Amino acid sequence: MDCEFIVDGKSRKASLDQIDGKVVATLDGRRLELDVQKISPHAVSLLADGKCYLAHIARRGNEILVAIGGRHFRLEEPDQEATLSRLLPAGSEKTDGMIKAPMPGLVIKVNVTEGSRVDAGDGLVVVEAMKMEHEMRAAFPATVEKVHVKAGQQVDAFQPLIELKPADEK
Amino acid sequence: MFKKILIANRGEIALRVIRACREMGIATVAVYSEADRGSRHVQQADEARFLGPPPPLESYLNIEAILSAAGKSGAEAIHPGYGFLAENALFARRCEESGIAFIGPDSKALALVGDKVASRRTAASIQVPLVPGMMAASRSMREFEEAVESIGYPVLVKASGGGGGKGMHIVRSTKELHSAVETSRREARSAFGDDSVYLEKYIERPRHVEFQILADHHGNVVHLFERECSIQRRYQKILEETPSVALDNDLRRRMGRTAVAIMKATHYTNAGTVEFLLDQDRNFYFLEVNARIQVEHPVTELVLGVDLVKQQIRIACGEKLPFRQEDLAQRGHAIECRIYAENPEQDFLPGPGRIILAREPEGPGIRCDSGIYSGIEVSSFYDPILSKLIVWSEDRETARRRMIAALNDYTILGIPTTIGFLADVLDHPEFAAGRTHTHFINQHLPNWKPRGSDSVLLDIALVASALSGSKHSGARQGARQLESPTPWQTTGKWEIGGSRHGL
Repeated sequence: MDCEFIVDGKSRKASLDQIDGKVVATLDGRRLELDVQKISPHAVSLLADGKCYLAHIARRGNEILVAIGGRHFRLEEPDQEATLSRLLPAGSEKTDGMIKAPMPGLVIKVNVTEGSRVDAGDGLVVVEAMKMEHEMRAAFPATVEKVHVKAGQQVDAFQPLIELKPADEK
Repeated sequence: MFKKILIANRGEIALRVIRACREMGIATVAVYSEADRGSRHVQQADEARFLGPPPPLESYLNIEAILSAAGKSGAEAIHPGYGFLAENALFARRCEESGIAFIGPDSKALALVGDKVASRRTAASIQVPLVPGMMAASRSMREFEEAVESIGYPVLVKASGGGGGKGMHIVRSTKELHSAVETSRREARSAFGDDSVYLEKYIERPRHVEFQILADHHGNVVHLFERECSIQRRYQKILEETPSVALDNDLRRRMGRTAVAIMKATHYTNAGTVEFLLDQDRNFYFLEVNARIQVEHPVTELVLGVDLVKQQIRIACGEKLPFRQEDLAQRGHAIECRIYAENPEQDFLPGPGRIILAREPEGPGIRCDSGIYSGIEVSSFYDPILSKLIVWSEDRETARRRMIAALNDYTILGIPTTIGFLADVLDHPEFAAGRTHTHFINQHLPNWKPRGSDSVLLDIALVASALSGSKHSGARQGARQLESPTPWQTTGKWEIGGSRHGL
């Protein structure tokens, strides 16, 4: 059986087989023979080449979070494009001037209005979560094209807050 | 002794107080906001009373709602925990007026020491060395500017009524001063309901050393030695230990005596902490009094063998301290790590959300004071502390190793935490050598990223994921398997996750 995951933006393929009660895995040409024991719905014990690994696993949508001895891995099943695009870092032309909430929280202050001109480093909006304020600043000189939120409004992570139009664009 | 105590707090500290009460045969009343119906303190208390909507001002800072809950449940005393109303003199006074014992200092002492500026004046009056700075909070920007002119940059803007680093900002130029004062005010108002702020000189690379105090209503005041809390991010402690490697017995004795003198001068009762900065020449300066049980109290408990929360309750009930200064001695070494819902890869940005899996470490000398469980939704309304991991061992080096092992064994999946970061702090050669100061993190672990792991570990993660079953490509089978304890390899059939490409 072959499966594919996305790890750090790279595709990783694993081919698994079962031979004499052992799991035989082929990963990028490497062969691993494992003894696998499920410990709980969230924990798997794996023995490979005499070494013990205890993996804790949690799923969220098509994301898989794995912890092994203090090391964490985030894998994705590549079958849902929507999730992939959501997790891609902002940076395309379209999102360049889009200021998004870095975390779920409360908008406590909006420093700009539509049409305001801002310089690089100017504070735009302040979001508070867990009693800590986080100020979003302009990365470049710009005109505020759109303000999506008001002070006092609760926002989700990645929710658009403010749209900027770079000053050099006419 | 009290028969019933209301705990005006949430999270791990509410659970800590509930445990102490249980062992003393005292019934407990939890209070909760809309966001906390599923929180552990509500599950563990004997009674629970609803306060109001999630914002702190409408729930855990709502004095009248809390007093009304105490009245309805017949609680004789209120334990405020830390944060929220713990150092609010108005709350203590309203308790006194309502005939409910406030487990902490009385409102007069609280007003004096809880106000950082007033406590600086008191300390100055008994010749305790102070960090230079404003002797009063001010609303006038002019006064902040004048203070800076006389002491020079860098300065630290601080909330008079606060603690725990909230509302604190370092300022290195006049350009930043105005917005720092404004931000401090807003954060202080939101966190403590009091927006007075002041500033003092910022000492470079100091150690933070504090002394735990217990004072009863019969004039007995003792200190329970020091805690070193130099490892901080955002001027807030993240790792604490006792004893401090920076103190010898002579310095320890002098600082302890000074701490006791400050508490006597303020007629302080109950548990409190006197905080000092220790500069590189081992001069100490009084910083402030924390008039509450502190987050880091467990390290003192482990090294002294004293249950501080129980002592708080006994003192509030009028009992005498069961020991004198000469009865107290430090034994071994304890370290505490604060597990926060924060992303250390992104400048400790808060990361609220649902914890899918939480698994705590265990073993000799390991204590975990936790407020979480698998499935809990960590709210964005409150402090990001999830739990505290505390270890005790015979000496610092074995405690350090024990803590690293415990952190590696602590699994929280679903939200970012400080666990991996803390393991790297403890593993740092400068930490191992005891060369700590309050800028340790900025100096030694700036722009921290988790260490890369060997490819074998990633391979193991891939295999484990593939075997864990997929909700998408094998929903029926996968769902059944998640509930079934049957080991896959014995049945000869297992569910493969990921997207499939034939077979």
